[in-house]
Amino acid sequence: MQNKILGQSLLWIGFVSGALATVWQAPEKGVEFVKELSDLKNQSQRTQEENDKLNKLLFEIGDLSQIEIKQDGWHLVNWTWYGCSAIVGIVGIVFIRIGSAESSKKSEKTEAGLAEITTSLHQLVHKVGQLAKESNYLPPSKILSRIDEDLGDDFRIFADGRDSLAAEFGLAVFADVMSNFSSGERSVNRAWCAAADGYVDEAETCLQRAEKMLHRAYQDLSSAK
Amino acid sequence: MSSETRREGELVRLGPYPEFTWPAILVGWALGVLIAVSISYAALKLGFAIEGSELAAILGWGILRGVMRRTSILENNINQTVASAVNGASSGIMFSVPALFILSRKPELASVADFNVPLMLFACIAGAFIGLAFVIPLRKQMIDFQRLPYPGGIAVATILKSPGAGIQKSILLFGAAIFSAVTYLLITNAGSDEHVQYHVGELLGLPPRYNLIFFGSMMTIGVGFLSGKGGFWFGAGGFICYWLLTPIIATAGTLDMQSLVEIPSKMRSYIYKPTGIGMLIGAAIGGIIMALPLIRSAISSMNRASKDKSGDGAGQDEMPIWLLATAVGLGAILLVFLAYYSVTNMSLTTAILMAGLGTLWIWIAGVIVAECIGRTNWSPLSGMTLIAITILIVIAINTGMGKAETIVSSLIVGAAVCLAISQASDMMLDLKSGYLVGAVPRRQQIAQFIGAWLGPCVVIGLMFVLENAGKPTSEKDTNPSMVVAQKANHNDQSENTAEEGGLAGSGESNTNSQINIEEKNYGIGSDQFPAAQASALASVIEGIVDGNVPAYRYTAAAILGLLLATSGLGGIGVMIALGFYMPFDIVLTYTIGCTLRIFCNHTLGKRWSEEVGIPIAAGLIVGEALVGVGIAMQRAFDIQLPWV
Repeated sequence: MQNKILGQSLLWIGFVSGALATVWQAPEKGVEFVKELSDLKNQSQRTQEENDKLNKLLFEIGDLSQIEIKQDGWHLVNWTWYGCSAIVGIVGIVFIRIGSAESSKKSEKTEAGLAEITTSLHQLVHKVGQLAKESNYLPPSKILSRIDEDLGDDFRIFADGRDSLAAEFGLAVFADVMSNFSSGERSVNRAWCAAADGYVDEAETCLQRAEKMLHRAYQDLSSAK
Repeated sequence: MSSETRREGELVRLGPYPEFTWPAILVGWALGVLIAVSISYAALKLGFAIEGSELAAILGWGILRGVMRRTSILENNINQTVASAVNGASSGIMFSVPALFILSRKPELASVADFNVPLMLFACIAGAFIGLAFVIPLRKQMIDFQRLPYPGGIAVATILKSPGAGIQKSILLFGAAIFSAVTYLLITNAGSDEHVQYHVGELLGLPPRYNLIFFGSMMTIGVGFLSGKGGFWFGAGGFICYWLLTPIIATAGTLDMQSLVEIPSKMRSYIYKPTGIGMLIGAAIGGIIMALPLIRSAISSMNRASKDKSGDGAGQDEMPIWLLATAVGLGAILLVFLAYYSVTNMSLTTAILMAGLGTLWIWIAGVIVAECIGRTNWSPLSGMTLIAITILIVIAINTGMGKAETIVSSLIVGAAVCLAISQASDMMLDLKSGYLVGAVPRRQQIAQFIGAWLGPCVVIGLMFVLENAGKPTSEKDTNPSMVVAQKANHNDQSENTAEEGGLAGSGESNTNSQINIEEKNYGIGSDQFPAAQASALASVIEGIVDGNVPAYRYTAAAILGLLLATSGLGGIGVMIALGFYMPFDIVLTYTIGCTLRIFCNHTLGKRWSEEVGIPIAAGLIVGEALVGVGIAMQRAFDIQLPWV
């Protein structure tokens, strides 16, 4: 935890300092613009030509359409300052990585998150399967309300807690579980639309497919454990 | 064919559920052409293009359900996918191609208007296809795994689902849309001031450097709400610029910079925007490196699914990777051919280099845009195109080509890149709305290809019509300034022909070049069609050709972006970079939406946010977008409203 906090602090110090080094100097055109503007503004009496020029510059201030102004000026960045900032940022990243590796070794938070998503996935398999069975006699409006009321929370809990999957089992398992889970969720979404349009056959087929995909996700998760 | 019956008194349809049908494609083409023509016309007149997905969904709803009595949400989803794919060309082309017409007004560049139109058309279509082929495999990673919000996609899905969402959600959606539309009309004085700002900092007595200005836009609040907590890093980028770096510079910076920070719009143009572009590139490259294991897992998961014979249809969900890889390969070869034949003095090596780097950049920019639009709903199209054109010009000019040839060849390949980026962002938005309505991704991807080729034909055709609109047909109709212009054009073309033949390589303009021909008062670039975005690009291109590129700032910022992206803190690199790049007033208003979402999640619960908040936010986006399109049309076609 301490490594992570230290790492984050160093990363942001390095980033802000590096950003400051990057933007510290104005390109010549910007300098010219400001000088010209302030010179004209400070003049107590201006000719018509100067007034026109001032108006033009003031108009430019309000003009947001420019893409950017370009100048060749490698000297405008203090590279020593910039390099030191980048090194501080890199050291920060190293500390963040060390902290992350430590916390992923044994984390109660990850275990709790994993338990929560396993439960929600199990619930989803059960609820979607039940709805698929009942959908061959339920009217479309009931299918819709059951999807909205019974399934929304479990989908949300699983999706919100999915990072614990990657932390615990790695990206390959994460990809397999999430592929099947997303496919199942998309099938439920399709069942919702089909029911809304009154196509109950399609809604039933989609719910059956969703159950299969969610069950696969559950199996992938269980076998990874 | 489906049949109808009743179950517990409710209408029930038996049979296949219509999704990928001819009516959906034909209506999509028709609406796409209509929207693309309207939005392109408005873009030339007003200087900005508008996203057409919401409009396509609503019009499709009216035509398919209302007029044709069709009964499928998914069919309308295919319709809006096709229509928005056609319209994708309007933002892509209107930002790039008109620059050629505008640059041709300079005597020494008059020949750039004589670019090969079929080559340009094929380049745009090839670019669109390469962009799609690159971005489609990212669907699994960004939508299934990372679950990026894609606020625009959520808004479209909310419209699509409104027939079945129940009366309460429909009231919320349409109520919010009306509220947003009326608010927009009121605060913009019926569209006469389209970018309304509230100078809160001035009211609070803060110095201008803090740039505490809010953008008056309900749509932006809606987008922020849909992005939620994840959108906060976008806001953080803006705050780092104006509330951290700027005050430090104001206190301890050089005198010049102390003066510059007091004009935040210039500070953004000169300093923060190029920094943001560089940072975006670094963050994207870092993001790709970091996401490679996940991308590899996503692709192998797609490959496994395609070999799946379990009969549940999972293998048919995605377009096969080999097909997409073939599309990229063929597209890249086509780009080599197009670059080679774009100008006379192009060598094969230069053409391969331009096409190769253009294709590589499409991939990188595709990832950047897919992530930016997924997290914030804003796509840095102009910045990404600018980088592409910079790279292409640097390659071309270093091989000894003349100015005009450099510009033509770079813009032909650059237009392909621009179209690719535009199609990539549209595809990802559509795939998100497709996910939410349960569409089969492969069908949507095919629908996008079906629409993508048509847009360039329509928009380039329209551009030529408008370029020649009002052109005098006889000497009698010609005013003196045009005679000068035509003579200068003629002489300059001869000069360029000689230059292309290697007789004159200096690129110095002749005496006629001193004649001001910018008085041509018709066509693109004239008062009638100012094409502000393309004009800005044209001025930047001239700068790049003259060797002025802020490479130092891009490089420094790119390393910082890379640092953030490799920190392991998710996609914050791209988000913070976008905060540097975007105007702070938009960032601030967007942050209001993010804050509201977090507040609602904590006080009213996540379910409330999804059941009530999302339809309202979607309505806010839809209302303002539709009125924006309406006002643009009214102004572009000069329709007089009795009450204005």
